[in-house]
Amino acid sequence: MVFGLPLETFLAVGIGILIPTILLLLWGLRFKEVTD
Amino acid sequence: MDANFVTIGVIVLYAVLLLLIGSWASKKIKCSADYIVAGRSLGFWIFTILMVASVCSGMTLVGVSGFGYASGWPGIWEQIFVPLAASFAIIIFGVKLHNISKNTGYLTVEDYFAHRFESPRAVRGVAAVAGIVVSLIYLVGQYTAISIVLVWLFDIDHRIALLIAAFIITVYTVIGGLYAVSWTTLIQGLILIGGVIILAPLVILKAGGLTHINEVLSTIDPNFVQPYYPTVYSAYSYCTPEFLFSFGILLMVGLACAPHVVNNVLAAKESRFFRWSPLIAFVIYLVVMLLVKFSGFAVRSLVEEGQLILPATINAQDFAFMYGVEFASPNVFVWALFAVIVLAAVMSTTDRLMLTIGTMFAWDIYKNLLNPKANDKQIIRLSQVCVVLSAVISLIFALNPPPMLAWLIWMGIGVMLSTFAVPFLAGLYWRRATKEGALAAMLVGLAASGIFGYTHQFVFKLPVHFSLYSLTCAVVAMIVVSLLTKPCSEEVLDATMTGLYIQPRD
Repeated sequence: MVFGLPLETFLAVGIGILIPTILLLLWGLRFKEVTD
Repeated sequence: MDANFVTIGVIVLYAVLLLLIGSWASKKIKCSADYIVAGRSLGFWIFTILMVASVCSGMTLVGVSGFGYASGWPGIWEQIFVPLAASFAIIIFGVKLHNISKNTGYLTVEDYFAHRFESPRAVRGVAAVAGIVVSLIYLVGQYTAISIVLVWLFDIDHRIALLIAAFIITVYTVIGGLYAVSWTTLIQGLILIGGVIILAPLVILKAGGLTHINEVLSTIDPNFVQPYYPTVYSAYSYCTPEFLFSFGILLMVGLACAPHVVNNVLAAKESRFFRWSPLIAFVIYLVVMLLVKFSGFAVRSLVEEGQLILPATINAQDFAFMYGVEFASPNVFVWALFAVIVLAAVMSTTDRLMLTIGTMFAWDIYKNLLNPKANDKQIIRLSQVCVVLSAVISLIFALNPPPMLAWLIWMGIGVMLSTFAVPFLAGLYWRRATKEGALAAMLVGLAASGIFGYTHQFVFKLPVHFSLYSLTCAVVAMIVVSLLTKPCSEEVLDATMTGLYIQPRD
């Protein structure tokens, strides 16, 4: 149990938040800046 | 809670501030582009907060906590999907649309549809009418949220509450256009973010902290602390894995392609904002949403332990966060601050929706279909009249609040997803998509969402959100009809940067 939650819930939600965060970080790093 | 002097004073000050911004913004309006896209002048932070606040809506404080109260942890995915909608809108639609609009001067996404599908009348007209219909459905949900908040705040009849709120929002939106909407949204967004970060932990701590809350939740139903419900065995246990799949598409894609959200990208000053705004919008909104959700859990735990009683109304769960704050902090200044936070959350989407409806009618239907000779002054005037009309129409519907606010808002998003997602995605990324395909996708999507939505509500419960079925129908219509009809000209496809890429290729 983590914070009163079963481990699988804690891991599922944690991974669910981590994956989009990493993808958005990669998007920012690989963004090709075009001057307006 | 009885109306008290401090709360009323703070809310009056807040309303005056909004009206002053509207008055200041009205001086900046010189032409249609100023009114509709704020002269394409929005800076990084105002653009990012505008995206968050447009996605945010009355759901954030009222619906999210209510959903958390009713469904527990299996509904937590909503708090990840919704913030992703802002990122999805910026990356998948925004980058390209902003780049194209630099040369074409689009004011609305319907301008893009008309250009891309070489259909200045049919596709534009259907997109605008469908956009107005779905925005009105969504707007009813927003006014219902405002009504819930004001009834709680002042203990007055919800009809009077609705009229007061609608009057204030309408005045500043009518006079200041997107300048007023974006600047008031910046203020509303900052109040919302700061307020939730201060108040939500108070509710969670008062309920004994997250560990204790989760322990209490698991005694109500062991599945309350699971990541999903294994089957649908009660009214609240619909978040099964298959439902969550459809829910993810609904919220991420459906909200992203909603006219009042995606139109914002045309108002950003520079395309380089799109580099970090997706991540920043996601993180800011995720934190706010999770805190509100945990407050919903906290209130459920407090109610279960007999420390708190919610009102005996059919939509009791929608009052969860408000009663939680009232319980956690009896300080009158905290209530006053909270009152403004809740109003900020519900008002920030309502104004954007009303402006979008006004713009779609005045610019897309009147100027581009009915009277091409209309001048800027006539367009702005007509748009202002439509903003007022949209408020009146949605108020009439909002007078009878639905049992659960979340359902009404999800229905609005479901119709948006079914109608706009396919022509939008296919238009930007598939060169073979044609005008006839886009028309078929929009009409089939709209009709199918009505049929499946009705079936789910009144005939029998579907295993996934109804919009997944109607979205599938729209995809099939787009592919089949496009392949059977003549492709668009290469010249237009190049000018609209159509192809399987996001940024221009070297």
